[in-house]
Amino acid sequence: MIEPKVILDIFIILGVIWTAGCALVVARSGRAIPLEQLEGAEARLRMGLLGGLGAGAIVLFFLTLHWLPYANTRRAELGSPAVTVAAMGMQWTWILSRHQVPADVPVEFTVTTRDVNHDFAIYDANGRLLTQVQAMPGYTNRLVYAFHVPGTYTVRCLEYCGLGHHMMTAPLTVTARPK
Amino acid sequence: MTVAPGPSGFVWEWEWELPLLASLVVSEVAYVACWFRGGLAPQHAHLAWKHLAAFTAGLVIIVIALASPIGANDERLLSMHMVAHDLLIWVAAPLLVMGGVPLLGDTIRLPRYLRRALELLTSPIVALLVSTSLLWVWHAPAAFDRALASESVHVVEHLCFLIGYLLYWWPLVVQPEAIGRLRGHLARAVYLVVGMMQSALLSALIMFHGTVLYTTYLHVPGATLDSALADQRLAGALMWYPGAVIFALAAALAIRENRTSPLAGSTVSTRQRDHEKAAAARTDPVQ
Amino acid sequence: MASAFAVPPSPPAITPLLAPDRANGAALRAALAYVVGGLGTFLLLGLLGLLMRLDQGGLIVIPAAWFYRIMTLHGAGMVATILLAALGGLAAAVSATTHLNARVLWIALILQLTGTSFVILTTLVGGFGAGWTVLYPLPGHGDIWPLSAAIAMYVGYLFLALGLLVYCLHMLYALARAHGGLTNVLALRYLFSFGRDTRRTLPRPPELIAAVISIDGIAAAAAGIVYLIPMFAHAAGVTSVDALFAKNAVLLFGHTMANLSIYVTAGLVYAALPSFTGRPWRTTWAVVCAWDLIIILMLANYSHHLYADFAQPLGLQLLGELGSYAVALPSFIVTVVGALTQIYRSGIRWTIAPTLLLLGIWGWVLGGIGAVLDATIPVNQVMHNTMWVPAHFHTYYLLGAVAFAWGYLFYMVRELTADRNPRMLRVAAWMYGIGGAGFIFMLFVAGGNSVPRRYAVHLPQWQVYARIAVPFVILLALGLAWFSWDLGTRFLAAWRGTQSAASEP
Repeated sequence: MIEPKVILDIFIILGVIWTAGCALVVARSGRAIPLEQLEGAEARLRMGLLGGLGAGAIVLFFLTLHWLPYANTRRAELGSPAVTVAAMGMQWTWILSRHQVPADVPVEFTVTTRDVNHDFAIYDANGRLLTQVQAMPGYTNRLVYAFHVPGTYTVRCLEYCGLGHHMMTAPLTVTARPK
Repeated sequence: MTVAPGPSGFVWEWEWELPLLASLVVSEVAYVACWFRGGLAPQHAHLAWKHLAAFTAGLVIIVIALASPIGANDERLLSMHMVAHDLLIWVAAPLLVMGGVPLLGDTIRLPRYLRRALELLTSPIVALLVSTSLLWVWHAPAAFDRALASESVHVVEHLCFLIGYLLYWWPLVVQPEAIGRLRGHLARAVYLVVGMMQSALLSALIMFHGTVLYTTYLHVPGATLDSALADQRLAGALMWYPGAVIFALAAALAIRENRTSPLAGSTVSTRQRDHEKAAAARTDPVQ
Repeated sequence: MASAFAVPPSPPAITPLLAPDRANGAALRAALAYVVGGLGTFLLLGLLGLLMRLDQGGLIVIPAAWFYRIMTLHGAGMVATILLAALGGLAAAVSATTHLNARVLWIALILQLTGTSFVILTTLVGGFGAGWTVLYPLPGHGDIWPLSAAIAMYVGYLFLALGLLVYCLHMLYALARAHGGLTNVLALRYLFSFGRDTRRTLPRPPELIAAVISIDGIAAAAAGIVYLIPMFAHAAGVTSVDALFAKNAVLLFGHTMANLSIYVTAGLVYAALPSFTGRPWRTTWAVVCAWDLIIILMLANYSHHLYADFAQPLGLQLLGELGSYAVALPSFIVTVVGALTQIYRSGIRWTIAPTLLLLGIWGWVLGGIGAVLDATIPVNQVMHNTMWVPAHFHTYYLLGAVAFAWGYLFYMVRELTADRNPRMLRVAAWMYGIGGAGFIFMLFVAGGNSVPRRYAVHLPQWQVYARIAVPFVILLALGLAWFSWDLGTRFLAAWRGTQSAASEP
């Protein structure tokens, strides 16, 4: 799955490139020339960007279809869930039907809420967010995920839900599959 | 003369009090008399039916506020009391000002010192300060409960509200070019926004207060702590929301492109007149 | 001629802010009230953000109930005040060539200020703390605030929506009247003929942009009302509400409200930058195409807020993603590239106003990079509702829309006082830029480390991010204080600059 820190690195790299581009334009903002001389280059740049960014967007869009977090896509990718965990969010605690799941099997979390919107988010022991799904009143959302590293994970609520939002956590243990 | 309250505790009778009625009738008669006097003289052609209608409507609103079941219930329900006050300060007062101010200009001859005093009182800053202070002072629990306990104090309370807000609405109705008046969109906007926000703050403080502010309402037969608190929240809401609507409406009417408010008369101040006379004297050396 | 399209006949001159004979003086005064009122209140409610960072850094302790009230007020306040400032600048820019009724502008302002006062009172006095997004059913489920506080918040939003509606309707009316119909304001004939139909005079870019955002503003206000009606009904116990419908409605409202400010202030760049570069910014076919597209694209991608709500129909999710990618294109390719072309080899003197406009361009794209990353559904899976979200919108706002707004205000003062802005202010711009950049960078870093958003209390390992941000926020605040001081001393002169000899309202 996608690592948040990688995204941060991508952001920093793109940010630096963009900043360098701006700095270049500013550095060359003196020694005036008439706008007419730039119009051709500007038009070409626009066309190039439209083609490049447009194509990139379409490619990226189709790529993302393979990694949708929705239950159908994940089931297709990981296989039929072997274990189901029912998760009920309520102000301000999580009630899980089980706190232990095996590693290396697809687990399906059926997530709902008794009162307001919550967000069922699973963090690993290093504080990295792995996956999440919103808990909506009147709906049961299904999140399919496979854990590969045994250990203690934390479920946190990630949708603001009132006074105890920051205290709404639950432990989740992933046990290694017996050989 | 009230009959037994209905199941909700609300009383459905009107309370006619002679002093109130008498003063309203006298006011209307005096106004109409002045209006006719003003209407007959050709130089006062600015007085129109709409002024008469506004003033009369203002008096009718006072009747509704104080004599109707709204007023009759002001000692048993804070929310009704609020509605009565709302009608006085936000409906009756502006209507009276819209009808009365044009009249005051030329028909009534006032001594100079009285006119100067009136100009000072109705200047925007003073009017804002006076109306705000009277509103806040009378909503202090001690004062409010006192007014509920004594009829004469209650009359004083209502007079304070009415006079305070007659002053408040005054600068929005008179001609802006008068000295010290609300000239320009910014001044009028600031005046309205400040007026609105101070009463909104008061309403919010009342509405969100955790305990019953005016303990008289706890001693009304059939009242419980919960019902009194719910009544207080409703009262705060009835002061807050309609207030916002009234001020928005006032903004729509009072923020005008042209100089003259259509309902104003020629209430040019005495200082303005003196200025003009002096200027005329300077430019015309023959006089 | 490199362009494939016909040369547009739009007026090429750089339009001054003051119309001949100061005919737009009244509208400019209203605009100044919007901008100064908006940015002034922004400063106050922005300080609440500093309090939040101090609390999340563990440097002060705010009780959770108060933290969430402050958070609610800060969120609503930022959106409302920046929008006010933006709308004011836009009115000023448009008024230079289109007659706007100052009275209507003032009424819209008073309605929005009324709405803002409701929000302030219900959070600070009433205890309301459900977040500015007032997501159903939380407002009615507050253990610590009464239902009446939620209702007051809704009423505040109603006034804000009404004020926005009045402004947008008047803007569309004024523009349509000046150009002979809405199709001419949007240059639709010119657009669909690929630039060949040039019979009608093209609108100036600020006029075109004003029409575009007015249409979307009406949509935002309508979405707000569509959300609020069932909210009121539910509060009265009349009906129950479907959570998915509610989330769609409130996010369409909130998303559009937030985006509106950014696009409005981008329009201000078109209005002000030419004065500094000496190059007219003409309404080309690209400009018309980009901004007409934005009408739809601004609305189409709202569903990117619902990726984690798995019950949302897949079609809408994918529309959200594609729309998010798509909307970046016209903004970057036309506005940003256009601004950089304006600047490149222009001989521009880097005084405070163009510096801030450039800062805004830089920040807007930076925020856009963060946004496009988060709008990618698999990425969103691990970044939704982490600090990445406030990171990207603070960048859009603080280093985008707000920078544009302050830049435009300095431009207005320069035009109205016929006086150059002091050179020392560039230092203040650097303080603002560096302070802002450090602040938002720490938000991105926190997001990259999966720190959740909207937490009143941060775990010790998360507090370091907020602590590092605090000195940057203070630097930012000092820069803003310097701006305010300078503008405060020149405001009266600018105000008088709008008045002709015969004093008007």
